[in-house]
Amino acid sequence: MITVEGFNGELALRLPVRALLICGLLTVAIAGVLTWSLVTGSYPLTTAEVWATLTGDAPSDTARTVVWEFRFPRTLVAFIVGAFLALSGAALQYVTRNPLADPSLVGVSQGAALVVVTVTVLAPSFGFYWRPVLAFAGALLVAALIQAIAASRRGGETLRFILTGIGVAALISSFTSALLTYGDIDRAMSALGWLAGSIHAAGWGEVRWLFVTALICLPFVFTAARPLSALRFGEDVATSFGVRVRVARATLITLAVALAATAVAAVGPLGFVGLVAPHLARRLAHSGVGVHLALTALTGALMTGAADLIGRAAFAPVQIPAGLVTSVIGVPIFVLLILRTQARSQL
Amino acid sequence: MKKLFFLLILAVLGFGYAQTCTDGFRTFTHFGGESCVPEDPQRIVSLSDMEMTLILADLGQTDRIVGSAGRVLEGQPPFLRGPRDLLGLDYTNTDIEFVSTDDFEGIAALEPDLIVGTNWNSNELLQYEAIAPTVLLQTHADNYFEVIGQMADLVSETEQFEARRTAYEARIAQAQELIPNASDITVTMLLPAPWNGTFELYERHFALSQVIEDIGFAETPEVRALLEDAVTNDLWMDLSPERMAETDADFIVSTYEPNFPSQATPDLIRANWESIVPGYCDFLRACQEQQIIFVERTPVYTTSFASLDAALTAITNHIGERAFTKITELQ
Repeated sequence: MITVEGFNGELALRLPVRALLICGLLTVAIAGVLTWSLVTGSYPLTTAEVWATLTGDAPSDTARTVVWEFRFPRTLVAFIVGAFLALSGAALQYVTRNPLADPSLVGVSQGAALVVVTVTVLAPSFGFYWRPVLAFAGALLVAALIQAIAASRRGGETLRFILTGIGVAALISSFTSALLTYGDIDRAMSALGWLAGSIHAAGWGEVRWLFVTALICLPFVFTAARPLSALRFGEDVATSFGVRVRVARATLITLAVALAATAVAAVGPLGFVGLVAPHLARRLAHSGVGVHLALTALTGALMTGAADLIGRAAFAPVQIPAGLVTSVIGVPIFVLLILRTQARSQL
Repeated sequence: MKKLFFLLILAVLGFGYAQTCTDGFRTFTHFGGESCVPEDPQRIVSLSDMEMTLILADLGQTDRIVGSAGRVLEGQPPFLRGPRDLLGLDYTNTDIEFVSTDDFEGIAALEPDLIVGTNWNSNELLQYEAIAPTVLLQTHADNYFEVIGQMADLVSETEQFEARRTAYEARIAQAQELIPNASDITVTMLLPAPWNGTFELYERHFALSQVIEDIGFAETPEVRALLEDAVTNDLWMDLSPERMAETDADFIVSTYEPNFPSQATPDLIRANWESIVPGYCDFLRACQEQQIIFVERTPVYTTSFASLDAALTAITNHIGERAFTKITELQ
């Protein structure tokens, strides 16, 4: 830790040096993944050709399309979605004081999946352009339902929230499975493609509204670092610190849901990022909540960006959905973290 | 203020105009909306081998196809299911390159001037349209000839389509002369699904069901009731083995698929029936009377005139040119 003072000593900041260094390294790694992603793909392009394309001197129309319409927006979406899911997971883990909390716990993925699959199977003429909006609405509706049930009584809201989330998510998943089983096979296959959580169809449209969401939500998330710090120690202690616990919990859960719902609406459900990234960030460097959120966002972005790149390039021309790759990578990492972490949770 | 109002009027009028295309292009309405497509596409990428590629190849337009999605099975190189089975056309003896439907870069590398796909490909329509004009045709609906007609229109082969349809109808008329009592003969399309312990009772089987319907064969009231009452996926319903006996008919058509090892021969299909319902023959008079017929699946499970010819040949050979025992009586 180093202390930085300013304004004639009226402002002092204690900065975790290692954590900030790790943030820098993660940023460099993300830049590396971006670079590698731009020069990697089925269409052969040299680094010089990619640079020429980026600076407006594309060697061909195809090169321009490949770099600007496919590789660049897809990679940006992967980073942003990964950061959103990671921050959502971190917020939920802090609020619920449960290290296994994940956006799917609050029904975000399941709610989005149910609405998208329902419309795809029962009303395909509604238009696939509405899919992100429908996914977002479904995610919010289910999350709101879970919150309403959990908050219906005083006391034990956190445990009730977790249990209600698990129950509602299981119920919704059964409806989704029934629709996929008995629906028209074409429509079911179309929905399955979305459910696999693939970033391959992401474009500049997704980049735009993800960026807008980031501009709106991220300042609130990082401002919430103070109440999150207090909530770590339980409701009573947080109240004694002056935190309005019910308001803070509701706000933070809403932010977490909004971030996760936006991510799922863009690319479908991506597993394990929201669960693993906060833990991985904590293992990389111990820090206060604010810096930990930054580490978490960068870790999630790197995880998802790397997963998308691996899925796209490892077995080209066959594309592996990023959602599968994050699960394949995330599970071993999570098991490793569990084995190395001490018995007591360190939120 | 007047200027703003004038601009607003222009904007409103602008929205009322239909899409106009540049020279060499024309508008084409399809499942994905309305697109400007080349009047004479020369470099087509097809996103479906069994549907789009087969239809194009069947219309004699193989030379226009620069890339096609295909099938990848373990231990085999990629192949064109449908074109290979019906027309002998594959990646190895044509200039068609293999593409994966979600490998946009690979598709872009072929520099197509038109991409054709089905409603299955609608998720990625925007990505395809970034490469080339993209047309999606809705298959798997009750529009067998409409799909072929739309494809013929795309490649300016409408005359050929009309001629071949007329020829097909003439062959149907010949088949009806060969089987004048078709409306008294009941036919069921049934396939064992041992992977989930059920049967697949088909309502539509593309060329096979189209030919059966056009010749005028009947279905039993029991089968009609099953299909109407059950939740189907518009192609088939999953039928419990307990209700297998209700599918009995004068003829039961089942299919085998050489591309899939567990379903490669009629004997394997019979073994699948036996694994679901041991002694199944005791419950089906069609089986006892040797009136379960087996046809190769791919040639009759596709959309093209070649598929219709294959289905017509199979049905007339198996049903029209043999004596059989009447099993069901229609009221």
